[in-house]
Amino acid sequence: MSNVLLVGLILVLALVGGHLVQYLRVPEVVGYFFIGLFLGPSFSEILTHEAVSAMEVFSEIALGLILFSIGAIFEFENLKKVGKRTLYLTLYVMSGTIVTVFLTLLLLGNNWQVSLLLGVIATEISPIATILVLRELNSEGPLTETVYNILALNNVGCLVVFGVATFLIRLVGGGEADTSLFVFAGKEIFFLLWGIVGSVAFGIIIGYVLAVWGKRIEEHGEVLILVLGMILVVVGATHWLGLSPLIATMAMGATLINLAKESQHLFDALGKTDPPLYAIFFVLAGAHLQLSSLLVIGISGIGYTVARVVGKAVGSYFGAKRLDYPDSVRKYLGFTLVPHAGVAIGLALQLRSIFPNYAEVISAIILGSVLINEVVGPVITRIAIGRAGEMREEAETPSFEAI
Amino acid sequence: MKSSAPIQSWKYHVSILTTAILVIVVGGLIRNLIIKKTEHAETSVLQALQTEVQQLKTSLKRNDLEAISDIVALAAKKAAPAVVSITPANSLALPRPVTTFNDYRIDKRQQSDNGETLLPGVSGLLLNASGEILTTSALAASGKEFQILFADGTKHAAQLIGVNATEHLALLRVQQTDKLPAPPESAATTPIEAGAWLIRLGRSPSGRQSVALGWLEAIRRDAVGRETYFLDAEFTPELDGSPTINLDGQAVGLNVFRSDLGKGVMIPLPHALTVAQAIRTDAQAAPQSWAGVELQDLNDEIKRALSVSQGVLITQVLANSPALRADLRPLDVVIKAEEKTIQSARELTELIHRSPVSTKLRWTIVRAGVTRDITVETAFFDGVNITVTPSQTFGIEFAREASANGLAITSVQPGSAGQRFGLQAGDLLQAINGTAIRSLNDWQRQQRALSPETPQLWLIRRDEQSFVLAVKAGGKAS
Repeated sequence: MSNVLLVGLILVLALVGGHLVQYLRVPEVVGYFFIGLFLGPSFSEILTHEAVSAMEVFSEIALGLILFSIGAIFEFENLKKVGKRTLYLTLYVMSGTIVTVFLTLLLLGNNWQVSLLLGVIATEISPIATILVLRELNSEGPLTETVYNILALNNVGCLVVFGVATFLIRLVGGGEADTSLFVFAGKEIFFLLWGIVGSVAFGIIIGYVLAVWGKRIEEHGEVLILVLGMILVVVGATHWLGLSPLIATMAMGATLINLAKESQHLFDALGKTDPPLYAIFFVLAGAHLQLSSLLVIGISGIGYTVARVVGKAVGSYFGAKRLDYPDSVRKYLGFTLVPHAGVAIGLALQLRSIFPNYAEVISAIILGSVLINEVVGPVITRIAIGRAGEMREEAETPSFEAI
Repeated sequence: MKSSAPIQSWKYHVSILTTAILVIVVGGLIRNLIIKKTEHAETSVLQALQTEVQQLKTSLKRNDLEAISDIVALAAKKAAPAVVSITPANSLALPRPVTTFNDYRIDKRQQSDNGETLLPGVSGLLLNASGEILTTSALAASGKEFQILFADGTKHAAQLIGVNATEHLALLRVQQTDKLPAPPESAATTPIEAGAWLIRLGRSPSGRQSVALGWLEAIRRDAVGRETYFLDAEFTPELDGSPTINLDGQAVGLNVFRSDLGKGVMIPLPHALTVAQAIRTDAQAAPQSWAGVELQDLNDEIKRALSVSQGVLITQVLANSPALRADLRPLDVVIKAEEKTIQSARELTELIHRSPVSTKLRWTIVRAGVTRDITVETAFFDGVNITVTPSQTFGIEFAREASANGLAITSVQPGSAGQRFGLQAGDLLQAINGTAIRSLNDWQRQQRALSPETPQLWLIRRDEQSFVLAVKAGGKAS
């Protein structure tokens, strides 16, 4: 089957799947995911592993887009209002997650390196899944606001602590025989900083370019071309430079929103055009995973999944309480943060090259857990939003609005 | 996008941008440096690893060589108790056979460690607890009483039981059989293949072990089906009669020097043991019949060329033989013997061997298309007839190496036929009766084909000059 046909199939079937699950009061993304499972190696094998790998570019673009959109959170006005609180809340949630997962896995018999790594990866919240659910539910309200705000910070934080964790483990594990600890630590710190600061710097630069160039373009469509193009350039370039595409695109979005306030509607417009990409992303995510991975996660995998949710719930509960967030937030925030996917898988894959001996165990657990979370998470999110009373009736989105 | 009034001054933007660019540039450079350094470190690590692997390989090879010497030493140690040195009891008897390379047994006498003058000797293999020793038939010329020296230094007297000259083997028996060392385990059952590593293990009269490692080059089967094994291991004089052992220390054959071939070969132990048994069972070995022909099986082309349908081709008629006396000639085809059609060389050989000595055998041959009947009276074969050595017949020695130019004469015994006819040391024998001589084999073949009474025309090259000498064999030297 040609790749073109495959992509077409993916899209059409995703739509079908999405609509089907809606009858069950389940968010569309779950439907996409199931379609992916169905098309993938676990069932019909229409999408082979090679096909999935070949279409990885879509996933990258999707991630880049979503994080670019999330970057809008860092608008200075917004930040001034909610920045500090959001930061602290994020810290609460993150630490809650890390500690709970770490302890649970340790108790279940894993070594501290694996437990730490998993604890850190657990902080990840799938931005796409969450945002898509929120969009679908057309939700509004303090809970929704908080979720949006947290998402950005949380994922930045996730990448940062991941870097720190790997750094720590490598430090303890010792470096190459001939380098002194200083040199080794120095190198590691440099790479850590480069990954974060460098990505931000890069994102800022491109953001500036975008802002300046974008101002000269009148036509709406062309602006979209520019933005999309830039996002792709950033995603590609960061790989080459050893930077993080996620942080860079986020920084790019943040820069843009701050340099050109009117670009907010640009983000909205993007939001209208990116659903196909996200559908593909989720179908691919589903195809990537195999049902067999559920069987191998074992007790640690189950422990991880449960501990993660608990950690988030506990962290957000106490954080919200401490920081005077409204009740809805306090009660339900944790449950909206369950989705767990793309970035987590990406991190697990990265581990393959860094810590090959741990990568096996971690990959197995993550993959199995993601499978569960991607199915269960959006449902829980929906329930939580519903309970918080922030669900609005789905607005009629004109389907063929001219772009 | 419509432009909007910037909130901050452009200085602010420029500074942010510059910082960002600086971060990227500097960071990128540092990153590049670090990566290059790690790559460099990795390549040097890689190179160090490669060198180490090389060294390991070399030391492994070296260990292999040392391992080989260990294995050989171990095998030799295992087999050593059964390897003996045999010297004639009579100190005055000089042993034969003569090897064509410089045989220091004739000229030199070895000194033992305590200064006793020792006689040159051969080696032998202790077969069993009855004290039987298998060795080369060469020492039959030295009489019937011998002294045996064992690995542990003990000496025993032994007597010659019998000789099988065709097989080049002789059997001795030690008189006192108590306190004999154990004979080695024989590996008679496992067949050896070409390429197998083998060790010639001999003992010199001083008690010293002689060890020669080599591999089995080739196995030749002659017309009678006897196998000759060619080892590329060194064959020094004291290795004559010595056993060949495998790497496990088991005896697999006996080494004998074949003067007709000019080199030492190995007789596989199973065959040697059969011969020993034959020697043993009739100590007066029943005289074996002999006709004196070399035979070859026919193939389709030869059958067509000679217009025969079956039979055996005579390729050589040996000197002093019944066949010669019956006027058989090379290229005769024996189609019938004693009323039976002959299909193979083996058949005819067995017929000859089965017949008692002095039996008149009736053969039908085809020569040049003409069939005729011939009577061959078998004669007694004492084995010496076949072996013609230069020193026996002419009192000369040839150089060991064959060359394209001819066979070099290394020495001429005073008073010998060779000297009488004018041969000198340093002469190069190039042809006999017009047939080029390039090796001892060639010489042997000529000698067999020619009657000993007829003078032979030898083409000699001496001092850049070629000339012909008419020589006649002076008879066997002892």
